[in-house]
Amino acid sequence: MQPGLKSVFVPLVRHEFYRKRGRRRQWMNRQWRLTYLLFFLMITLVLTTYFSLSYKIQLNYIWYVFFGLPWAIFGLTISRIVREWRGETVGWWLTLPCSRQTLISAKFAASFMMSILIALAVYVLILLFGGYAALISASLSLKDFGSFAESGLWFFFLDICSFPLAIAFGLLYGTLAQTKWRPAIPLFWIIWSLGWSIGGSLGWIRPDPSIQLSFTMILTVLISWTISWLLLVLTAWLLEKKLDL
Amino acid sequence: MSEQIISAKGLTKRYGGKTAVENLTLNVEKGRVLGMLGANGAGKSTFFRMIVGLVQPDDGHLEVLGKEPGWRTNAEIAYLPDRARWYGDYTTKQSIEWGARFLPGFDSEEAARLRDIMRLPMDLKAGEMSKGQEARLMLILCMARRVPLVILDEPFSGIDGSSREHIMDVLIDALSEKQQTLLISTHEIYEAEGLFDRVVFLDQGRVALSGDAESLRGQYGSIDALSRKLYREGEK
Repeated sequence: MQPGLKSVFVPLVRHEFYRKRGRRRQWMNRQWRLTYLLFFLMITLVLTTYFSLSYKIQLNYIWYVFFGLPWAIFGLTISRIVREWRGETVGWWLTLPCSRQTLISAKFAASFMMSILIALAVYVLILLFGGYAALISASLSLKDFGSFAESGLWFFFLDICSFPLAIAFGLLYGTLAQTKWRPAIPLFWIIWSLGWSIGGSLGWIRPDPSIQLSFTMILTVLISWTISWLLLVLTAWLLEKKLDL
Repeated sequence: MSEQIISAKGLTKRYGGKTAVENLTLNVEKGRVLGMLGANGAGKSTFFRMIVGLVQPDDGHLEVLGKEPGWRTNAEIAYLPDRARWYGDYTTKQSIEWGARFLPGFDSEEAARLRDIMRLPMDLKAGEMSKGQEARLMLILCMARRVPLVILDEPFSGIDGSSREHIMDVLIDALSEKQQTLLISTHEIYEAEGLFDRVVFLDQGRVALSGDAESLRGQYGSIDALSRKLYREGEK
């Protein structure tokens, strides 16, 4: 049976989505992971109880965690490329009868879906924490909790808008290291830092929870998605023409 | 005149100051088994990578199945990469399903038959397999394909004798049934030389010797003996 090339994309995304990190022996087994999780939950519970009873917690600040999430997604996406080389599966991956654009787009789609799940998990965890704090605190009402949950959704939405750019940068960065354009990596960071400092000084990049849905914001998001697409095209081209194997 | 599956003219590939393949001209005819032999770094893997579009030649011209190599021609090539591993979290069963999904010409029934010969447990994950078992699994993914060209880059590398025997049985079996062209590189010449119709010895990216396997055997006793002779001469 000949698989149709057009029908390959969805299975490729599924393959990328469900793949685990690598074949290296896990340095922490399930029991230890469970122990750490329980320890973390216990500490959170104790601290939340103490601060909720002693102070008036500013719940909304907790959503600032979302500002760090695109960075984590950037790092996780780099590993999606790197593991093909470390796991020695790159020969299988890059000789699939699909264009490099299809291969890289499948990684992009899988990373985006995974990022949404991670953001959703973070949202639910913070919501649970906020719910518990509101329940035991005398100074927090149900209305406070409602506005807390609502503002969290806004942060969640902002993160989802930013993920395509973080993922596209991660895929490009991971790929650069495997190509003849490897010397461009410092340039990547120089452009990144310049963009960050110029954007920061002009006030374009700052963790502003009061940001509203506006034409400028929609335009910014659309521009960032266009850049993401261009980065994916560049990454596919690098894999096609500049691979250093 | 028989059909050319691969036609390479003046291929050159350099990595910085090192020349991996230099002015390589080679034609491979349909239905032949070609042994690509030579020491490590002789240019065998680079040549194979050019055929599957992983590496672009700096100079020269290469045609595979009458076309420029690339992802489209890979639909007709079964390629076992050098030093490859398989996805650690895939079981044998899932890997065969993966082959049916992604690899054109993949015959699931043939894969199941080969799996029986290779004695691979269906539910064993590649990450839990021995190196020999994993190599057998990867070979199944190549040999279960009904495609005109099969390229095996060091299929015996790091594999125990029993697994090698299994692999050889499968190769002989598959080649007698299908009219495929096979390119194989190996250092285990003694065990694999019965397969070869033709051999090409590469040395520092150049063809050191090429010829019909049968006549070379007649001349030197065996391909293995010839290989040792060439190696000794190269050392001098």
